[in-house]
Amino acid sequence: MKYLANLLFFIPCALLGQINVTAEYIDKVYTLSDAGKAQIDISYKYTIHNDQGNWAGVFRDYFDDFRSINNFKFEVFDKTGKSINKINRREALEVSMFKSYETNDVKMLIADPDYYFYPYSVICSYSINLDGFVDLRDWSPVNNHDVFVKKSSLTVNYNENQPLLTYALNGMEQPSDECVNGQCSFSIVYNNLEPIVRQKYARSLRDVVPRLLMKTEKFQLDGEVGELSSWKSFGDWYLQLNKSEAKLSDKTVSDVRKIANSFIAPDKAIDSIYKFMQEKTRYVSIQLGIGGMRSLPVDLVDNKGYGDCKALTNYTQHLLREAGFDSYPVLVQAGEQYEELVEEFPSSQFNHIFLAVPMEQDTIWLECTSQQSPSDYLGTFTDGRKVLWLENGKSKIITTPKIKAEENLTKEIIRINLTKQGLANCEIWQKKQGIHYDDASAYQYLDQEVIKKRNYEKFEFSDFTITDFTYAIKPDSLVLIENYTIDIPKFGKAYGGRLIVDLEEFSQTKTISSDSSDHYIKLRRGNSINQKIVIAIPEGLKIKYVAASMQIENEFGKYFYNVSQTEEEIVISKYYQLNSGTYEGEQFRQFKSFVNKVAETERAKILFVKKT
Amino acid sequence: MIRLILIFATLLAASQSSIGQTRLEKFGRVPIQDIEMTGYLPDPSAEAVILFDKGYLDKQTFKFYRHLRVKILKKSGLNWGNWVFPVPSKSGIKGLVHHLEDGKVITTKLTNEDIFEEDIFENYFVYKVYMPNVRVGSVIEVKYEFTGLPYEWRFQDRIPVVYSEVEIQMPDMIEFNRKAYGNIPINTITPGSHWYAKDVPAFVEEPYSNHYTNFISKMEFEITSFQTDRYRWSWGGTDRFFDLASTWQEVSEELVATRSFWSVPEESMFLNDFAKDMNALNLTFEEKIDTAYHYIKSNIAWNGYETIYTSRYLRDNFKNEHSGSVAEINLSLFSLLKKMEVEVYPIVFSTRSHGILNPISPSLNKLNYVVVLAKDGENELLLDATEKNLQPGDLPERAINGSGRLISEDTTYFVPLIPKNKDKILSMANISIESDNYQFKVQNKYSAYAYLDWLEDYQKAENKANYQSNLEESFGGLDIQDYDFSVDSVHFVCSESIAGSMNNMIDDFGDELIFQPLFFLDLQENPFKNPERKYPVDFVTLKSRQTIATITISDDFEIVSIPKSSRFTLPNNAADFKFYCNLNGENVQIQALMDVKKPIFTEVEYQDLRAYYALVTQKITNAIVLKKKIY
Repeated sequence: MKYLANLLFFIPCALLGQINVTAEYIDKVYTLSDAGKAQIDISYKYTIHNDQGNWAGVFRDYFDDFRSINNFKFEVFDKTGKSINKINRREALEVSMFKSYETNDVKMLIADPDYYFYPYSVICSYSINLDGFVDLRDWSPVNNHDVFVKKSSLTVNYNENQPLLTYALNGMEQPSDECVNGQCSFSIVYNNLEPIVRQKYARSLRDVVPRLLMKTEKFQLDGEVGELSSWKSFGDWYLQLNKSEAKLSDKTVSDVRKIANSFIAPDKAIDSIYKFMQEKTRYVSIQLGIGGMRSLPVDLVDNKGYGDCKALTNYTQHLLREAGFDSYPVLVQAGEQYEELVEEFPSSQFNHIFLAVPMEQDTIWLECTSQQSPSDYLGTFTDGRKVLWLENGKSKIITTPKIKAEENLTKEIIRINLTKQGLANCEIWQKKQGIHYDDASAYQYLDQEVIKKRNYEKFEFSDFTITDFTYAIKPDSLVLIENYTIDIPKFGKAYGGRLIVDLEEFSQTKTISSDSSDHYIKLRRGNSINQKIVIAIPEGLKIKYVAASMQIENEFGKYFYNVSQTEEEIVISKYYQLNSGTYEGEQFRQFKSFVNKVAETERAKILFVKKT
Repeated sequence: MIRLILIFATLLAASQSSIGQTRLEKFGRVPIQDIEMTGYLPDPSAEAVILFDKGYLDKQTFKFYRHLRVKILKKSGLNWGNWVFPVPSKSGIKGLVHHLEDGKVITTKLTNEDIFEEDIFENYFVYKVYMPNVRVGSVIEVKYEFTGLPYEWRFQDRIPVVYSEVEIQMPDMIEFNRKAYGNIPINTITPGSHWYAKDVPAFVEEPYSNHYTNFISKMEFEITSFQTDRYRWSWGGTDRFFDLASTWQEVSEELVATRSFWSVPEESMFLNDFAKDMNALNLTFEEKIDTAYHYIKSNIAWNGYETIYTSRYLRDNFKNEHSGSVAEINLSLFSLLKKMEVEVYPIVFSTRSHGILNPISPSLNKLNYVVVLAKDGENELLLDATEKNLQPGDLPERAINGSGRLISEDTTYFVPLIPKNKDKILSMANISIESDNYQFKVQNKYSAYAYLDWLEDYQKAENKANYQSNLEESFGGLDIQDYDFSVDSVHFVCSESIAGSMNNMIDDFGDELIFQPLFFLDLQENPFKNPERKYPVDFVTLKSRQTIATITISDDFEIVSIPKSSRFTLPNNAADFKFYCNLNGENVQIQALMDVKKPIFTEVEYQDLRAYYALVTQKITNAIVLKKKIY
């Protein structure tokens, strides 16, 4: 029976090795013709070894008006090499799955053999035909962890009078081309690339794997020809594409002027116009045809009260112009986590647009897709990164401001009334500012009932009741204030006349654990917390032990921990600041020991004993 | 089903062309107080509120009309201006947006340019509607129509509903039945055809719940039979007169007469050879089950489709593509076991995300899943071969959903969908406390559903190093020096061993030490912190945690305090917890046995369950206090 079972069972290979997929070959051939026209012939063979490698057995690529998928062939082979399934273009699924506020033309082509008997192989070949593009994105020999690459190649063919520009990153050599009779080409081949293991604290794969950025000097999208020789020329093309004769309605113009005239301070006027836009519109994502680049006209937004980031930014720019303010759209790679811009290689590296209003002292930043955001608030969405400022003939790369660690501050005062039995009544007052203002948006979006429920997830006591909760949002100063009152029956643990109190619950520190290999961490934003905990000493008890005051200050941040006590109470004051930074190798190890040292102090308990 | 309704509707339209008059309220005539309204008193936090929602099925046209009004109350409610309708064309969609500007009502009409067609999947079109000029205070009004009976009417939504009404005027020759769900009172206007609900609160989801659509208050509709003078309707490949079931007996008969269901044993000749070979081996019941179950699993894997009917590609799917639907997998298993002379029955039901099967009113439409019941006298086993990490007797979470109906030629009854195994972890720990040297070694054995959870965590971590680091971080301060595991892929058990230093987990108060001996258990935190609960807690499976810990303390220390033994049980023995802690020479022995003996706890039982978990976590986190001896 046992013998039979062994024959029939799947062996979970995933648990044995680090190779999920073997790429037998991945070949890509780019053939460029006129500006904006290209064919990419792709063929690959993957052998899939386990569940975690199953992504390689499923074909997925997208197509739209400017990008078509042709000559599609896909075949699946079992471990003996027998062909078991062929999926042609008609059998593959065409899917568009967008949220209720999104509309666009992009569709996914999916071929999924639903096969799970390892190892198995897929052989696939197809062509992508581009009819209009800005750049050619990038090429890397491998795009996933735990893949063994036997061979991965890139060949590019192009005409001498349509030069191809490349930029090699992460240790790749700049390719050298050969031209014969005006026809140029180059090839790159990688053989036997060892799999890259996914590690917890490591650079992203994209920052490790050799990468080649590609573009043509002249490009074309929907008939609009442009040049990528500089950021300026790209900016000019973008502005030209979005040029429109459309106008705001007379009523809107007069409304905006009325608002502008009722303020003397320009920043107040801008703020009010921004609010006017927020009241009047909502964000939806409609990107049809060239809509990924071209904005809906301003009169449509005026009429319908909706639009995507381009449309709402453009609309706000028009509103400000009527009020006499110049403003400039800014292209950005948005999101809390984002890819760094390659400044040396002007190309389309953005996914979002917002607005900048230059003032005498400073610049006011306006996120036009939010109905709630205060003006001049970048948040984690667009802070501290390189962006493209769009201005006719003067487009340029600039860096958006980043809030300092000291300003991303949470202030907290916790008052704990404790009984001899360990029952605690806690009052927590919190003031969050800087980047922590992001938390305020949850309160603006969520139902009261949901907020109440989520509050219970913020604490880890085994049994407690939040008897009172209030909050206040001050958008003008980017401040969020929260007040909690909590009853915790077993806050202190009594052991034969001792009472032990664990304050770790109120701590936001974490430990870092990693093996001895080289690691990497990037903290994009600095952060600080100022906490004061006041515990009223229960009648009849005294403090036997509390961690001694200490302080550490180094390049990673600061940690001050100070204890003072009287007969009635014990006061613990803390300040913990983590600076933004990038650490690897020895520096990572030092950073880890700093963070863990703080966590250790935060874990220390307080021991109360009977007064004698 | 949709196809049938469409054919039928075309037929009706041809014979009776008079258009029935709508019974809906006047479109566009919104009471001024609705436009002026600024908040909704019963729920001041509501971001938007459905003012009314009316649906009506017209007898003559067999068309369904819907008309609804939504009030936007907050900026976060602006998304209620975006709608997706699965209707056949955009022409049937009408919309208006009303709001107040300088005391006057301004109305903006929905136009064609606000409606976008989307081919979401293989020519299945939906229309996306972006209502124009929606702002805080707007009243949005939409109506649309389509041919046929909707499969459900929701009286409740994620925002409050002031008034919701549905009326079904069925053509005479069609019969339908309905099922009501949820706990909001639904009032009857005309018995059997016309209902309403009012002042319905918003639905808010809770953790550890079945799918939210199983709790929302709604009514489901299904056509049970229809007939005309001139046409006979066939169903499921048989020549029978079209008559959808109205009793479970009829459902069973219908399925027994369906080739793609009941006749799979005859259709699956490709299983004969294997069955013949096995029959020659004279296997026991258990061996037959194991062999057949693993033979099926190693030949066909699940492609994600849920259905109770096999396709005509069954042979190809099994023999060549090795991939198939739930029916193709489990009815193949049913067929193979039948060929191996085991007493087997298909059990049909509805999965969690598809809704709970109503035991009183039967429904063929609602059936989307089939498993196998194998019987050997009193010994019964449920079999589902769609998941490679489950064993005979266990079901995947999606299939653990109340009861399923046993189908056979002569009898039919409900069988509870309860898996044989639990979510179970056995732990053995050895902790050694010597002066300045605190070591631990924990061995965990995860089986059945606990194994699945472990596997998921492990695969997420991707490798041993990451998994070990996750463990260390989750027990802040733990220093693991040795981590290893082995997997028994026959019985789906993982045995894991973790060893290391506890130095960072011990509080040293100078002359005293304190530490939590059961720090490694997954019961450090009460999962039910919220004092209130509106809907039942659903653990899906039973839970069991059995732990034995031995703490060896060197004679450098004197024991000051150890946790007290205790035991508690929930009413009707729904869960119990036994905690024994004894001093045995220089060892402390702890035994903690936690058993949750039923999967579902009602919202009334929630308080008990919450208190139970509070006590369990308090006991588990209890500490040992030691005193350093002074020589």
